[in-house]
Amino acid sequence: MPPDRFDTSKPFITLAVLVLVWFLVPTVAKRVSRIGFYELQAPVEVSASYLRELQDYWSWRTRSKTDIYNAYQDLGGVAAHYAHAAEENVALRREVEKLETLLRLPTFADYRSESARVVSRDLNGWWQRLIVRKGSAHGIVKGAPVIFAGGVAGRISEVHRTTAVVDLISSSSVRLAASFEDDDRPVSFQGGINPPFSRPQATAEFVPLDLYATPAKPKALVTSGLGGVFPRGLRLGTVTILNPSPDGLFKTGRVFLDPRLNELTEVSILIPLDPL
Amino acid sequence: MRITASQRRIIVLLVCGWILMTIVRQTNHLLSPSGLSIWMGGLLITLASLHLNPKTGFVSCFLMGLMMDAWSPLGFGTHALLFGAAHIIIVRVRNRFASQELTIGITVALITNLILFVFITFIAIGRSSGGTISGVRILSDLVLSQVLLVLITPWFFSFQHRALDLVINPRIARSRSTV
Repeated sequence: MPPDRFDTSKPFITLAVLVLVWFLVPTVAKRVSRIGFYELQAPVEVSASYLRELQDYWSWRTRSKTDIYNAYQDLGGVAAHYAHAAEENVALRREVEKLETLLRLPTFADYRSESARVVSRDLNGWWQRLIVRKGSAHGIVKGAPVIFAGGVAGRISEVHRTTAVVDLISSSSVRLAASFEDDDRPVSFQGGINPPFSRPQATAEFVPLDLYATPAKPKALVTSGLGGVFPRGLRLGTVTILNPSPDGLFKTGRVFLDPRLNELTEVSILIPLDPL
Repeated sequence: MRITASQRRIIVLLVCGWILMTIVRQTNHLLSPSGLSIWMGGLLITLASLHLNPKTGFVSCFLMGLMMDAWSPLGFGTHALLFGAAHIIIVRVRNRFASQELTIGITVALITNLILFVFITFIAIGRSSGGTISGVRILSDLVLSQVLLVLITPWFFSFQHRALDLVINPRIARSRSTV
């Protein structure tokens, strides 16, 4: 019969052995089981998102014809505006190509846009993630930038067969190179401040000392294009105040992100046409 | 291949756990515009730890942890090992109190959820690559989770008991429903 002390600590020894075995299990086996557990649960989540859409459809069906007519009129105005912007875009693109050929400049990385519906939002104090209804079957690649009407939403962190996981820029694990709209010098953008009942926030670090921002005259923060993930000039947020950092060499500021980031239902994924 | 009663219990608890996880995920989806979220990891393992035999309970807690790991950015196995450790501790102390009572079950679920929440917060801080995590957000998420946990624990326990009865002792379950 084993000694009493050993008998009482047996479950803990079992757990210690299990932890040890877990660390020795090959990464491939862990990866396969992770994918297995994920894909097993994914259909339920995707079905729930389809059900929500059906619910929205039936709630829209209850609206009066006058509402639909008004919405149609509003959309007509927006469509005309976008048609004009698209024409301008084509002309500008031609101009850029002409200048690139004349000056023998390297061409900008080109992207294909793939729109995706949001399956679920997993936004908590620890991490901020979205599951979207597009995956490797649609050509989505890991690390691809994700945008929405308000600017950058995040980047793809995991790709599965028909779904993908997006790490939002409000997540504390996201750090990227940014710059102010009217200044080319790079600054560091770090997500992670998500207080309840308020818009998501982030931090801008290593801001040059000669830049100023006030609530009356806020500065827009955009992607710098450095790092090769995000194209240049995509909106990240607004900085309303810049304070000197403790070392006095740079400034630090709070970045207010778009409030729609917490209620996204559709995003666009930028897939590089010429992946490295 | 014959499925033993113990394996059936594990499957039933996994399915019940999966349903709770889905409800929690859908709730979080709806809560996200207000900047709040809930986490119910402690509730997933409480019944298995209080009422099942240690081995069956451990396997079901470990597998439920793996199911949660598949949807979280933490290292695969983090939830599983935390759930396994919590299960072992609960099994060790469950004979000291009336574990069949609902109030005890709610209390154990609350304490387990609190401890696991704090552990995961530290792990998340460790992997945040220098980013700050809002303390106010963590606290509000914890408070909301604990309040909702108290409200849904009686339903979830009875749901698990009923599901176990239906699968393990269908006759008893049927006779109870006719009474």
